[in-house]
Amino acid sequence: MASEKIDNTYEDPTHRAPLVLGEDGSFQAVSDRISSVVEVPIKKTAKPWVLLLLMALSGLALLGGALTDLIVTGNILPGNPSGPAGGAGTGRWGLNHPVGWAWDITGFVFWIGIGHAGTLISAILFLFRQKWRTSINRAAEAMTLFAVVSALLYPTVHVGRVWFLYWVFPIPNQMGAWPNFRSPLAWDFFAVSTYGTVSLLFWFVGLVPDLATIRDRATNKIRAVIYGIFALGWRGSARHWVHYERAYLILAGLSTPLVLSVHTIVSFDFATSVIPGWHTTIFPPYFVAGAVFSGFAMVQTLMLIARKAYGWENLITLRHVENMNKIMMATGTMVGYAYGMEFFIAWYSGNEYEGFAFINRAFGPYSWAYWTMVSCNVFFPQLFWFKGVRTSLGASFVLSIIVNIGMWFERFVIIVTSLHRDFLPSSWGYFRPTVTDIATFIGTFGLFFTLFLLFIRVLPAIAISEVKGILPQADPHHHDDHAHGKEAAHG
Amino acid sequence: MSKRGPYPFQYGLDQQQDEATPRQWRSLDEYANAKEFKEALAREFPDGASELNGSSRREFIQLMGASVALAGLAGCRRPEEKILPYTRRGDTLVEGRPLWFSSVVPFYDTAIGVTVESHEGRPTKIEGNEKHPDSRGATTAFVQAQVLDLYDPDRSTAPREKDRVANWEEAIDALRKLGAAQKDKKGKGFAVLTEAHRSPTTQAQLDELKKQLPEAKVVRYSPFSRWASREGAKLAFGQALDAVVHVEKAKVLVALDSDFLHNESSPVKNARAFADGRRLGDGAKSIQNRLYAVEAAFTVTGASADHRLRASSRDIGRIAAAILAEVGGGGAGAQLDAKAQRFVKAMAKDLASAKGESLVLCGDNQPPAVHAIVHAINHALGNVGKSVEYVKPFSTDAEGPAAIVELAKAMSSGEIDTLLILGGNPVFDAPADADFAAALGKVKTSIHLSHYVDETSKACGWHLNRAHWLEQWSDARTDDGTAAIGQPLIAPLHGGKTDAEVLDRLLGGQRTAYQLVQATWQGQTAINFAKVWRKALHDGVIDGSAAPRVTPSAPGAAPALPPRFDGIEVVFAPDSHAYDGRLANNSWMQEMPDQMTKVTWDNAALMSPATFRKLALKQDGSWVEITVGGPNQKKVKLPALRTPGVAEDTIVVTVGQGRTAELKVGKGKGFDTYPLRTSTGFGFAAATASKVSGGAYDLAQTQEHHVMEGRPLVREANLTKFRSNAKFAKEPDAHNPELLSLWKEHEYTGHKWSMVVDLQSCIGCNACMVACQAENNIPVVGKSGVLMGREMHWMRIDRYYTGDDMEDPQAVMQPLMCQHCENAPCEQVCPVGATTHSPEGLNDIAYNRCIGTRYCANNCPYKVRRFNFFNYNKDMNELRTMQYNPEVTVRTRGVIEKCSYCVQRIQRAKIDAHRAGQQKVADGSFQVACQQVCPTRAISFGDLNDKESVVAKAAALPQQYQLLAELNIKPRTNYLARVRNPNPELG
Amino acid sequence: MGERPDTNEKLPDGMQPFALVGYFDTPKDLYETCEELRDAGFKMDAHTPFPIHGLEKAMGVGASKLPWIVLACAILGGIGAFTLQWWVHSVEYPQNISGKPFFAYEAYIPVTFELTVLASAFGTFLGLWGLCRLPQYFHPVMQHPSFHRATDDKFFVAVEANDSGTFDVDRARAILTKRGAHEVVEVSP
Repeated sequence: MASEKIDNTYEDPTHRAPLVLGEDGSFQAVSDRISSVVEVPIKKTAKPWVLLLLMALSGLALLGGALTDLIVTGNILPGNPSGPAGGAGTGRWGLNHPVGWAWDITGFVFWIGIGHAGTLISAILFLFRQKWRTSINRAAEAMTLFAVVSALLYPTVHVGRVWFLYWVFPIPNQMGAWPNFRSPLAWDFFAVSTYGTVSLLFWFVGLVPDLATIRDRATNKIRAVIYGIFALGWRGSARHWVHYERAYLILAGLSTPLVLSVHTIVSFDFATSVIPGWHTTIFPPYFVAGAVFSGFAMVQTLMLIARKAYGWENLITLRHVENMNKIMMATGTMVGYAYGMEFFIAWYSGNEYEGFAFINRAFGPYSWAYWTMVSCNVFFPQLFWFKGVRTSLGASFVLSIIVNIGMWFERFVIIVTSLHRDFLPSSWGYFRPTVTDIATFIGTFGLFFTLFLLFIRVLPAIAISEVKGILPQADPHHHDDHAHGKEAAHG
Repeated sequence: MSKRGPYPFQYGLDQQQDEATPRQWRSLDEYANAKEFKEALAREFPDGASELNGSSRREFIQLMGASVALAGLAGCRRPEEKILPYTRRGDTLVEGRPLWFSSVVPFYDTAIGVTVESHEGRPTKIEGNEKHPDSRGATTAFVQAQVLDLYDPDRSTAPREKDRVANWEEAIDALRKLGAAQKDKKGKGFAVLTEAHRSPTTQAQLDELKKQLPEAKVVRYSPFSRWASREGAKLAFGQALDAVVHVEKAKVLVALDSDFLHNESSPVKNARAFADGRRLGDGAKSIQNRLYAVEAAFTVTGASADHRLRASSRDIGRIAAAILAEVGGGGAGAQLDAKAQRFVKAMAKDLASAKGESLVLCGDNQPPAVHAIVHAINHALGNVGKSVEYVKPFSTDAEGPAAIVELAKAMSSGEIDTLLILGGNPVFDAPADADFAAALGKVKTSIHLSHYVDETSKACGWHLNRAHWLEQWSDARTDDGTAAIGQPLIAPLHGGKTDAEVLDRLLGGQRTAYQLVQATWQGQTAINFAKVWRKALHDGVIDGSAAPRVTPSAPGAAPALPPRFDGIEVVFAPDSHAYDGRLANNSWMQEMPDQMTKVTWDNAALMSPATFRKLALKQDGSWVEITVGGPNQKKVKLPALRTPGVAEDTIVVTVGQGRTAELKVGKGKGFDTYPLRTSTGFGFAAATASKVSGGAYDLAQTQEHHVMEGRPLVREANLTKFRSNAKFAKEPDAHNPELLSLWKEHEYTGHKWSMVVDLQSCIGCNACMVACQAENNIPVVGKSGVLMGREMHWMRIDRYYTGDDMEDPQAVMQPLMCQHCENAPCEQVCPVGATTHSPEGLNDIAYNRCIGTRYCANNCPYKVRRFNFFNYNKDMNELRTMQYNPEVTVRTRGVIEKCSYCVQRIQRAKIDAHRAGQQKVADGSFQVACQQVCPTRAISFGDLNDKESVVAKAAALPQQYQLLAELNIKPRTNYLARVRNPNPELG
Repeated sequence: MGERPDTNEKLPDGMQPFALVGYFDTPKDLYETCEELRDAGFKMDAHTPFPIHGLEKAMGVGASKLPWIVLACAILGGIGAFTLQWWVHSVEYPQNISGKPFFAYEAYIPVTFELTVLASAFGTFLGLWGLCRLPQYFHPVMQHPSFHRATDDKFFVAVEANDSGTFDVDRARAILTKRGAHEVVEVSP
């Protein structure tokens, strides 16, 4: 539509650019545009979506195969090492002594990191009254949840005896044994599961009014009933809105320290160890910055696709894209600073093991991984200094993917290069991934995208009531005698 | 089979043993003899019992049925005759408590006395016998591993006539017929080929045989024996003599291509004496001996030497001659290059300064001529009768490579038409020029007694299954003649027979091994044999059985040495895994890393980096083809491996790998290099080597980085520095900071277990690794597993090359096992608290609590924690499981394991102390596995709170230090720094 | 959708209505109507597609009590978590781990924090629905023929009957009609 031409990325202190574009910015138009995606009859489902879902499902199948191979049979995937008597076991992965963690925990940290943007957008931007978040927070939160699911998969299956994983939780038992609350890994399980739970609650609370909208628009009984059940009989009562807004604020307030704590605690897994390259005090802020960095990159990737697929140009505007790019540039730079500081401290500490660990990172057997990481995370995001790049959809898309690759390598570099050469040269080794390693990793993407595609299909991917709330005419003191837009909803 | 047999599923019975059979087993034996059961076993157990992969489920069930039954029976199979428990360990069987019996292992052309641990009638672990001169409580890796051989599912279970599975009745029948026939023609055309055995009983039978069959030929052959030394003595003194060396009496030692600390003559005895001579305990400020090693290969001995000169084996003779001239033993000496010249001069001066207190040893791979020179050197130094004594050889039968070649010729020519081979595997390991396989083909009647249906058995008319020394009565003499009785720990699992028994049957006798051994000794001890016998069994040695010393006449002129050849030389050494091939099917040995190269499951062509470059080889594992000249050229292709310290233009190959017999573990492992070994080039030979294109071979090494990167891991000094600063290993610096604690630490008021490893004594022989594996049921992971870096050894020996010259470095060894840190980094990271600290300071793991996050392994700075990546005990053959130590849990898939300081032994000692009414465990009342086996007593273990304990004293020594102490993890294991004793003249 | 003619806007005689319901097209109209109704002493509720700022004041509704519920949960969660860890490591299952003291409160912080947040989040979630009396799948106002647009683009007001006698249907209807409400309808309880 014509409005696509409107540039709402201009920086004019006297005027806020409009967040939502389009002449037909009526309340009903918003409902229609967002809900229509959900209301398409199954037969009329968009072909590209079906195609994508099939791809995602095959990824999911691969995950199933990989996990069966790992845990149950140990003979599904080819070319893997196996025990003298064959059989399943963690050895189906390429792990060894000294590298006890590799792609498993790399994948875990990678997904957890991605899972940060959602809550950050919904919570922190909400607290800062960054209204531009409204168009993207719903999808971002969904992404968070699915990323956390993919992440949790790894610590679950990476243990040698999956069937005893529940021992990590303080469950009274006949053995009289209890978990060790001193272990960062135990902290991890609490942090990540809390994070997942709270994000879910937050997300669901946000969904309820929109579910009610879809319920009320429903043209067939089944849909009305199904969405009705989850809408909990929401009727938009002003008294409810009072509690609702307060609840939303509180959840945002809770999620903010939570989201910061999660990656901090994940970083403790390494920071509290004695291994050179892990034992680093800079990790908590460094990991959080990295998480935000990778999270926004993933949101960017997904939203750019959705935007194109569903013609949401008016709801997810260039302004949104640009703002996210700015955040990526900022966090990317922070990460770059952390990389530099690690080296400085390694030298400044005068600890020969620490010093060696970092020299080995940059110039050892895994230098290729290190330099991939540096170029993807530090060099490329600097392109965002140019507005032309920031506001170019193509560039944003490519760079967001580059950043995701870079952040995976960051975790790989931290985990594997630190482990493969530590204190005693006699036990130095080298890690090579196996087919099962690769299949498991690709599989988690299958899981993630399957969930995300289903979400986009059956739930409103943009917060309907929130978008309505930031329309100019939503203000009870608004006089519609002049064109909305300019001084509308403060972004 | 009208009458029941004494053993379950013994094919073919020996009626004579009935009266000896204890009554109580009657019903069991009857059950075992039930026809259908025996058939079931004949069908299922003997063949393919370990072949579970690919067998149908139904077969599997049957198989388990049968073999479980076997385990049940074999588990309670006590030997027939009365054997005496080792009373120092309590003399009655209490179920659940092990018993120890003394026995003896023939090995290294000598014998090592052992005491074997037996759980409910199953031998599970071999320990040294303190009373035995060649053991003194310790053993070697090869001896340790032999308990696994006993339970090897691939062992031959029945005699075979060609490929037909026969039984002992028929076999004995055939033997008697043969014997009778031979008697008629006085044994003409008949020959017996034995190993270089040390058994008086077998020898007695052979002598009897020679008496009855005067024309018969008896030849001794083993790929590694001290034949050359005896021949050398003949050249020097005019009579073949066995040298008995007394390392403890030598202040200056020179090893010429000799690995006497590890692989030759009496390694345990030598290593102990050597280490005792340089221990720096209890304020001792001086090292009693100095060792020079002149060698082509980089051996354990070379690594322990104070000075090491790289010299190719062909030059050893010249160096020996030079020494002889220097020490005034006459001879022209020899031209040496400047470096060697300087080295030899200083060395000879040192030797001369210690007349009568020095010792020069010559490697078994050197020809008799060189041995003759060395005998002359010792004589010139006045060491004879002091640090080296001579005794008459154990046997006068023809021996050595030449003898077997001659035998083979006679066989080919038809002069010998009947051959009885007792043990050994000549088809595989005889000199190439003997072409033994072809010769054997020409022989009409051939019989082979052996543990496996091996290369030789396949080529013989008859194969007889041999009894393992743990299964039958035997006896053996050490190099100085001291004899010991070998007691069986279990009735023969497959009804095998000993050499002596077979000879006895051949001569028409029908005595049991027990009767044969007794007969031998009855003859030699007139008065009160019963008493002597009891004591012999109890102590494990026979008093006063040592051979009388012989004082040789002055040596004649040194024999001429063969002209030096140029180009590449190939040196033959016993394989660190398979020895001469006999242990090729032993998975413990195959997975035990080579002492120097750390290669497992393989052998390779070892050469110095320079030679490696000269051959234009690309990377470790690149193929090289070695050709040994002579009329019929032999070629062998094998992977090359850069090994610092090997002499220039020298390629060291080990023989014994590359077996072709049906061995599930050993077949096709490594490369057969025997084809290169001829009777003329038996120890080393002129060869050509050429690069072979076509990729590289994967050599599975347990250590891939060989230098310390300047980190103070093994701390070392020379004697002068040690004298000036005994605390050199604990210089206050970044690595020995003053340690503070942020909190009030736990106190250890009861026992406070600790270990001290003396790097000064450790020679890196790996005996402790195998002992640990046997004691703690540690699985093997196979070559693929090692390649993935997943070996499970609880303790390893790190070997680092030191010095600047990577062509000619020194090497240091560091045994490393769990350090049991008081502030163990592994413990705090375990989310389920599966690994915690015991009140006695042990870092415990509750295997059944472990969920396998591997976090502890990651956070272990020593990387000693091992993870079960798979269920390595899955589908384990029932027979093999009989070796398992019932006091140690067998770990499942997905859990971490590591050194427990042998907690099961600690607990047993505590229980004993408690039952004896003592408050605490007395120092020395028990030993941990690695400590007990150590030939050099490098490891001590005990209670730090007991100030009088050996370990507390050791930990208080000035050269004590702790590895990575700067991490403030407070390791309980201490190291004693290494001190070398270099000759000032050589700097 | 098209305007419905204002038919059967009254309930049969003798039937006490639950409320008088009508709707507006803009938040502005609703807001002003609420103010007037509030001043006229009516008790009312509004139903809107999105929260309208200040509306609660216009309706005379007080602030939410939710924060207090959350605070209680937070305190319980925090104390509970810390107590659990102290009890496990000091009383029930004391273990010498890495030589550290049995009571190592430093190590208990992360789990304490997480469980505090978790408890608070559940407090918020359950508290919200509790205070809203949701789920409630039927409510009288839903009988309004066009109520489905309350979650779409219309702004409903429901003047609720009560026993205090301040409820006068006709006065309420007058105010609504004057304000231009559509489909002013009485809904039964």
